[in-house]
Amino acid sequence: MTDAAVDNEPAANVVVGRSLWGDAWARLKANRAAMFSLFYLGLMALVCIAGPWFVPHDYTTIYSDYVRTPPSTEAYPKADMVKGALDDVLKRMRVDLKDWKLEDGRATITVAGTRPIDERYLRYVDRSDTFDDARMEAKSPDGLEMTFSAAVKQQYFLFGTDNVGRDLLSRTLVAGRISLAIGLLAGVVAVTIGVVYGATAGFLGGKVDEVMMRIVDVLYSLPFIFFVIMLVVFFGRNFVLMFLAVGAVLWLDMARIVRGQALSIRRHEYVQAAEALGVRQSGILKRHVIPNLLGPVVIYMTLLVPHVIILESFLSFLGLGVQEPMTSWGVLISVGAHNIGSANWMLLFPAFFLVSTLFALNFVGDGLRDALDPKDR
Amino acid sequence: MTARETILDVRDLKVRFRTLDGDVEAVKGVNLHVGAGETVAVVGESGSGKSQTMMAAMNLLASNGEAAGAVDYRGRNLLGLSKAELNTIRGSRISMIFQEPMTSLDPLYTIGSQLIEPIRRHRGLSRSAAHEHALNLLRLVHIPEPERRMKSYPHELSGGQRQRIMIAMALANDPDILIADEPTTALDVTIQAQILSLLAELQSKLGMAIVFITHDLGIVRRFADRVYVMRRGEVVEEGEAEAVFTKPQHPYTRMLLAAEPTGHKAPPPANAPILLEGRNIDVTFSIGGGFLSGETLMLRAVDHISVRLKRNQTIGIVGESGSGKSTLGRALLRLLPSDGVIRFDDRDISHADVSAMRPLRRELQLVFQDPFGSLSPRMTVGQIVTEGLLVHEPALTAKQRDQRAVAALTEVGLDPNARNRYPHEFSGGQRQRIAIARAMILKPKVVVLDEPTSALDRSVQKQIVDLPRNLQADHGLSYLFISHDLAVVRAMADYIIVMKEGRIVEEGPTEAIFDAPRDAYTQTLMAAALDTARFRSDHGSLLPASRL
Repeated sequence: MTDAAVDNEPAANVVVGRSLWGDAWARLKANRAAMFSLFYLGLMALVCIAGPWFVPHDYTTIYSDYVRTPPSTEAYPKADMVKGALDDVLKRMRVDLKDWKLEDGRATITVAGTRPIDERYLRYVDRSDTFDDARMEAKSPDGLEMTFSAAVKQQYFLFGTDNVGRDLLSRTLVAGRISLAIGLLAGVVAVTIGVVYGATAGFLGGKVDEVMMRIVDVLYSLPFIFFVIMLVVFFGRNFVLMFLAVGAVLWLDMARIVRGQALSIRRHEYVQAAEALGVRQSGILKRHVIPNLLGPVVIYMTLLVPHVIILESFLSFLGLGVQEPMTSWGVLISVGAHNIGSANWMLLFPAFFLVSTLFALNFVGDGLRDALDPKDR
Repeated sequence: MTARETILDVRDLKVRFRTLDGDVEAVKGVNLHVGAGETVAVVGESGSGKSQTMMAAMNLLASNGEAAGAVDYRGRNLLGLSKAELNTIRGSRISMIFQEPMTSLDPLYTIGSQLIEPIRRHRGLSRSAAHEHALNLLRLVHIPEPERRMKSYPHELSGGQRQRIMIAMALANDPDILIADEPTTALDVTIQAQILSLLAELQSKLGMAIVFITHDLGIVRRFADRVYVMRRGEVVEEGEAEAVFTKPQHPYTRMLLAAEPTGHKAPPPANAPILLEGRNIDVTFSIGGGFLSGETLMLRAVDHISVRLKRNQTIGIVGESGSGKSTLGRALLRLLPSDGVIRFDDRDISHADVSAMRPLRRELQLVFQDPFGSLSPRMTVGQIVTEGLLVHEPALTAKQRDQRAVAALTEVGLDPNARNRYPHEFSGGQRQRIAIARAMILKPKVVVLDEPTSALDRSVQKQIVDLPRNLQADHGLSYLFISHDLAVVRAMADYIIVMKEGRIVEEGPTEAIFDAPRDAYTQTLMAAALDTARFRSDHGSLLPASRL
């Protein structure tokens, strides 16, 4: 007999009912890995959505002075970098450096030229990424020598910068927005199409089911990459198209899973009981089939999102995905992989974000599967 | 009875399971012992911990369970042994057979290879010697054509034959103790009797001890030397089988013994109107067929059956699994397509379609066998019970529906507070009450009860049998009572139809059928179910064990 099952049931005198969802939630809460992952995912989403507003650098801003700057928790420029930046500026001003000193974050510089120096040349100083707020201090009577001061801009690049000198932190966060959005949206698209299609096929059964599932088989046989390349060729590179392509391919799995579930639920005695009560098909679908389908759908959804993120990364890696200056984790990893020798941080940070998110999603998916698995009950 | 050497001694065994709702103590300090060659029965209802006691002794508890106490087998405590040491005892010195013969054999391997593997492992025999030994085992358990069966796959065998194979596997290494956990519960009564007499015969040949775990007291009386009665994880009574049956000490044992459904149903007056009538009903299922899948196989599940159900009558339909009795019940409610004429309340409904049937559905109701599968797990009890009202009385407000649910649940003897809870929080008997409430809330005229008691414990069965009887008296209902359990049918029905392979083999008033069955099949059925002769004491009266 089912002694264990009976023993595990809650005591019969509890008056407040606990639904299967409540039960599943209690199980999930007991699963530390899943709860930690859930928390981590929430944090990741929050950081990616709100983070870019709090990072002082825009993800498109190019700091030509800071190309491939390694990550550091200290402010840039470092002492030895000021001289290099200064040389660059003076070269553009076509003047020679006579003397300079750095005090309290302001540099006082004396330069000399072969021709009288125009004050307006100081704009070059302001334009530099290192200096700011350039002020004329003194000028020799013949105009060949000038002393000016400029503030040294304190900038932080916690994740370093990329090949053209853009802040990697803000780029990683913005890329996270894109990757998570694609994952979620394409996931929702795939699940919606898949559930509707699969539930219809499974519930109606018979010839309708046969035809609908053969269509799925035909779509399955189309190679995915070929499909995407075709879309890109015809419609150009387009962010929305990505959702469509990914969603249009991934709903097939969902449809099969849901159809199988619907087929088996249709044979359950509670559906027969509803038929014996005279309940209409729409009522059976609404009250019996769909609620009992949701468990596997939720589980599959958590596993679908990482799948989509990886697909997007893969497409972007091939150059078929999102385009510059917009970026995604896949794009960042692709660029980082090219620079792995000279600037490994460009690979490490986006890769860590992507991998940890995928891990968390998988843990949540596993946790949900265990929580909703009736066998364990 | 001479004193036997004690070979299995369970002392103060405790089993607890860690669950989300805290620890559950399934076994609370059980003492029992088994002597060599003895048959010990552990009896109790589901949840009494009878299976868990033996599972703990064999170290087969679920992962969230833990056992404390001592289980001594010939002086060694099994609870302290390592897995490797345990495996030298498990499966060779102590072996087990389980309830479900359909799932305990691997469908991918032949019977032969599943038998030979463990023999070779435990005895180190060569392949041909193991093959010979396996053949002998099959002969021992009376499998016909053992040579051919060695090459068969499990799906080619019937349930009874599979259980014989399981017994053969358990006996492969000449065990000291055979633990049989409800070995006959999933089988039909006639097969059940054959398996029991096989076990009795094997015991007298091989002399092993049998620990028989069951909820069925009828079996125990015929089979066991000593009995332990368990309840809520404790042994409430133990003793010689005859003593326990003739002079039960504990009130719980007395209650179990009295749990056999009693009473009988008086037939309706002869002039009662005929409510539901089926004439020459045929139900045919097609197997296979369809696009590109070859020939369609036609299976006739119900073959030219006529039934007339009068107002206030209960017709019992009896037969073994596969006899077409459930199919007949569903065909009469027009839930399955069928040929023949079906009339309800003087209307011909043989060709009524789904929408024409809808208004009639509230008068023709169905209660299912499995109270675990027939209630949607995601709906509250209140929603389940009132679902029919949504269809048949759409004008009711939510509040009125709620009041009706309270009334219906009270009528079936449940706390109305239960309507906010979910089905998985209830026991089997309570769920069956919910299913009955769902049918009764519509005030039907005819209810088909499809094995409503067979998934339930005996003491619960008695209550569930009483419930429809009382409702029948109150509301003048007519029942079609489908069951394989003759004791229940005898208490419920005033007219009986015995079915076999889709046909009626015998029908008539209940007492006439029970007192003087005419058909040979009916006689076998009666003998298997109601015979109280002991299997062991008198081997002359053994049922022919080879008949399957």
